[in-house]
Amino acid sequence: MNGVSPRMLNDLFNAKLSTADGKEKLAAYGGSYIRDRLREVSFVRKILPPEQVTRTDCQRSVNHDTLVKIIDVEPKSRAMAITFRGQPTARFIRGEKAEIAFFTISSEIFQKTEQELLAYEMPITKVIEENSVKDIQEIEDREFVLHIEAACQALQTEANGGTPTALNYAGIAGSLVTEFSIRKGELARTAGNNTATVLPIQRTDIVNLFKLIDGNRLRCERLLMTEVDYDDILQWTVEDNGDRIQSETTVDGYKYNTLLGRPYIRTIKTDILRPGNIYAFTSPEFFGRFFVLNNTKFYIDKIANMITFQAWEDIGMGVINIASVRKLELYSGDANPTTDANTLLSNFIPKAEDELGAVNNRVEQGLKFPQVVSF
Amino acid sequence: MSTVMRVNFEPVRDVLPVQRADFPLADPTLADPMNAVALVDGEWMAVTNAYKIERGSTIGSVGAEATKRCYPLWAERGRYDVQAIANRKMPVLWLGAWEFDTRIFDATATVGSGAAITAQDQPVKVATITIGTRNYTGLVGHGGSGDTAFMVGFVTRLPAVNGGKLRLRGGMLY
Repeated sequence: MNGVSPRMLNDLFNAKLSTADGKEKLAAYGGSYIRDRLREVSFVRKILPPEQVTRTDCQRSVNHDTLVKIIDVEPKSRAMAITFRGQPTARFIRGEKAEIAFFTISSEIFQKTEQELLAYEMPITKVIEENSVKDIQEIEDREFVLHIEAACQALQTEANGGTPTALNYAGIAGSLVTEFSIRKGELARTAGNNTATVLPIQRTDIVNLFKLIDGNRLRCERLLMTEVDYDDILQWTVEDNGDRIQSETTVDGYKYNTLLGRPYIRTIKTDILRPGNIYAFTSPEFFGRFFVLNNTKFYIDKIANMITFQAWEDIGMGVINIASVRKLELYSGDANPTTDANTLLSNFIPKAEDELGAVNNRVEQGLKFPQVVSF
Repeated sequence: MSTVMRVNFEPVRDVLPVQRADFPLADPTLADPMNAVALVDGEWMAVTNAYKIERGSTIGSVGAEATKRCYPLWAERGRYDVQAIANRKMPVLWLGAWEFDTRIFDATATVGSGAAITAQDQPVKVATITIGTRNYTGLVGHGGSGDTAFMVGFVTRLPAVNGGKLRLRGGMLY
């Protein structure tokens, strides 16, 4: 498509939609492109690599027409020292099983009349692809963040005697809370008050986060953080980095794929993973699964002069071993959704679906400079 | 008396023109099929200020009328796709006219200024009813002009001639 003007692409798009053959070709073109971009941009897919499944891999229900895939969980076993005459204890084998349910993530249904399409210079096919990919990948990540947060909170509640307990500066200072699956950063622990201010990450914080997983016969294999929190790593001093890394970082930024020996993933989606929240994960085989039942499908149609298009995928994802994800909080306020002791929760959790994709520019409000008025 | 089954709310006309909207549940625990008051298809939901859905009437109080506009839930109890979504979304029939068969009704109940469901074209309204051993937010007969409750549909086929199911058309009233 290189060398073709955006306007020509729009015309081509319009023309092709008028024939059945053209619709198929456009759908195929859109479909293949979307699948590629989605794998590239979704952070959950870097943490839980998606596995393609088919209908035959899934289980139905006798009560309704939806699907799950049942995952076996490693059974318990142990060994023991015994005498020559003694016998080991017995274990009647039973392995836990967990269901991962499938659901759909869809783009909006985009609609535009053929005539209004003429008012655009931008290539509409490109816009379709980018919008669809963006919407779908954001919701994938949002669902994932909600699941891992729920996993961390569940273990944290368990460690506090089954009672949801506020985790904030005051709670830590008063020894009112046990930090088990969630830990406050060093600066948050000494903040002096309970606020939503995100404090810079310290090297100690990352090590302590590793320990939350490493101390349970698991190994932290991956970190997930926002670009904003990563930027604070660039502020680490020579005492943190040593001469060589400090020199490199000053000139080139931190250019390694690992941080203190562990791979990390950065995301710019700060409306989904909110700054100040850093998660640590084991490798996927200890953690959970991400299944793709139907790769992104692309529907496009033109009825009379109205062009309609939509993309969707059918996936299932689940955190099966909740001990395989831990969280670091770089702010002193409470982010427990049950207690919300400082009424600051909205600062820490993913924004609502309909708030995602906020527009940065202010053109709609007429804020562009220089102000030019056409008449 | 109706009987609640696996499927309690089924279309009898094309659903393509009907806009089905997913809303998060204000109480996500109602998506759990083991919940004693789990939601079933054909119950009636109201939209909260937070743009979530909740039962249109107080479930613990039989005979409680809905005081807000209500929309029928079109998702069977315990669906996996509902449970898979972190916010526990469920679909309601949101816009457009439809005709469905429902089992979530009490034809004999008289709620407020309402009347028992006895005739074709009789309007129906939403209230808490008992079917079997538990309560649902379902349909009862509307009393007509003397009844200030929201009408949510009109009877098109009475249960006696429809295999025990109430057939109604709705969607044009809200």
